[in-house]
Amino acid sequence: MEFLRLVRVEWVKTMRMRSTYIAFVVAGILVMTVQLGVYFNADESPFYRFLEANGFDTSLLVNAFIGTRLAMEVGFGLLMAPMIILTFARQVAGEDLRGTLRLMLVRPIGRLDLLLAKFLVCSLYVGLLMGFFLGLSYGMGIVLYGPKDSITVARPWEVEPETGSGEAGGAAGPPNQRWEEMTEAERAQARATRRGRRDRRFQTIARYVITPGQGLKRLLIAWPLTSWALLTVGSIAFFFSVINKHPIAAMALTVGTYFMVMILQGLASQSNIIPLFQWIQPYLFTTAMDFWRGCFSVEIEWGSVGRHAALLGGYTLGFFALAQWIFWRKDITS
Amino acid sequence: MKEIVLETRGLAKRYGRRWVVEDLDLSVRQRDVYGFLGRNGAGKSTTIRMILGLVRPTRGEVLVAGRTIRAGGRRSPWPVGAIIESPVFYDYLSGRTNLELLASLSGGAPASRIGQVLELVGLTDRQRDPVGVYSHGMRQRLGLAQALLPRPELLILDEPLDGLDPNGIRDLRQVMTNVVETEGVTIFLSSHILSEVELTCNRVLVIHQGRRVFEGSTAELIADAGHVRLRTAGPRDPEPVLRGLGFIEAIGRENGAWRLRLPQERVPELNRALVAAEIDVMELTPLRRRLEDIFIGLTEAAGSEGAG
Repeated sequence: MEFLRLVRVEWVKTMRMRSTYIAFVVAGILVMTVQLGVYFNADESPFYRFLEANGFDTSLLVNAFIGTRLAMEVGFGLLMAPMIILTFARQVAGEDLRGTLRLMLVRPIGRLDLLLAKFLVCSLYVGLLMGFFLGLSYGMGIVLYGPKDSITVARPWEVEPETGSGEAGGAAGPPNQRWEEMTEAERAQARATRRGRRDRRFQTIARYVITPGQGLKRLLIAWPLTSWALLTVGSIAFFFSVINKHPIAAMALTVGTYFMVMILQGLASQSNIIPLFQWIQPYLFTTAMDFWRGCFSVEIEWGSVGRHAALLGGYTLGFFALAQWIFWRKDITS
Repeated sequence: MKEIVLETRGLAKRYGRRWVVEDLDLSVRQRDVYGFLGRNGAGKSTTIRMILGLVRPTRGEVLVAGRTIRAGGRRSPWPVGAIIESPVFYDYLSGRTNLELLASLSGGAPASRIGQVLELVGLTDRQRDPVGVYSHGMRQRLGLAQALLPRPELLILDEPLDGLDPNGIRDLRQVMTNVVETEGVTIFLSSHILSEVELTCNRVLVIHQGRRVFEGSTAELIADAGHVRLRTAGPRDPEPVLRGLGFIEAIGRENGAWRLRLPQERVPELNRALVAAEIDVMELTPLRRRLEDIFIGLTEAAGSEGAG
């Protein structure tokens, strides 16, 4: 009962603070920009042109799901994660700096309860923010395109643009050779090459095509997964918030850690020169944070999703437990 | 014998190699208004934070209403209200909402109690305004209101008079007097305004460099060790009479009056002897020292001992 009171107090404090809504405003701007971009400019994309050239009904191609997926792709790591860091990092350090932490701790509440209540409220906030992000994006897509997702391609931006032009299709024939100058045998070979390349492209697309009508369901699965992933970054920010007196320092340390681990991940995936990086890559939280993309495969590999979710859970729990231990021993001198 | 509300035993805190508070024993009894004095950096705030469980003592213990307080743990019951230095609040919330949230952290308080404390500190009219627009004095009063909310037995006030104008100081003094008289609250008051401590506190503790240099009643401290001032009129010189009284320990002159040292209980006897010698007594007053002078004397003496 007393713990629930504490959660309520934290909830009221968080939800009445104007800065809480900055992340919602920023997310809204991003979602609108991406959805409008898709609405006005998607027909210029190589993917769209490719399907159009091959006789597909492209009126069904661009839909609410595609816009939402694109918004998630660009917004998750670079926007949502920093926004979550801002919220978590001010939880303890911000209150310590203002002096309101002592105002609370001179009351008959336990420090561990206080920290847990703050973390729970922040977790709810993450869920709300991601729900808002996905809901707004999908809702806006429905308004723009109507409730259709007949062709639901999870990663259209991974389809490579078609190079060359004309019947030869660019690289299909010998280099720099005009179609008119080719012999029949060369023309037949060029046609076969082009067909093969087109088939491979269709196969690539097919890997990402979700059964029609599944778009919303997949987004609903993505909601808790993305929230779970962001909670890991939040727990790191929470930890730095406990060990710093200033929220800016906590934010800077978390952002620094987040980007440093992303760089490590990038080094590991782009280089096989340093085996150590490749060895640690599966254990980096940024690697695991991408696990939400798994719910947009044709078949969701739940085993892989579960493994990554467990790894992220381990990180979250570890950082939160460390924060609790330090906060328990900390002298409040502000 | 009044019950002890707050007690510290061998309380000490070390930061690095420096002892900020060292083996501090104090005891505050029910309905005391207990002044806690010391120069800047003497260890007052650290002591108060240890009492409130904000800072973990290096050694020693704190007992509130007979129960040992541990930093960080849940405390129930916790009959304490506190203001620590400048009261801070959630500026974006109204005064009343701040009190509602803080009350729920203390186990809840009915709306009538919130209204009552707001009225007590004179903030009823401004309760719906965001605290961000409150003046310093209003924040101090709201600080007192939040401290009084859970009907505490012990009120710990760390520099509650800082930044208040004379009217604010008078009002706060009045509130303190009221809560002691009407609600039986015990007050532990740390302040630099010694004249206020002298006016409001019945007992004082003076610390210097984290160590206790005096603990006792205020009256005892400010009574000038048995000095009285004697002013006479008429042609008769009182000196022969004074020198003839064996219990007068010292005789001196000060601003046209006699300054005598004698046991306080012999003052009536002195008066009778002067009247019998037909000396007109115009004034016979036990002398009091100002707390400020005593404080400076005590802390300087402790400082020079420490240096020696």
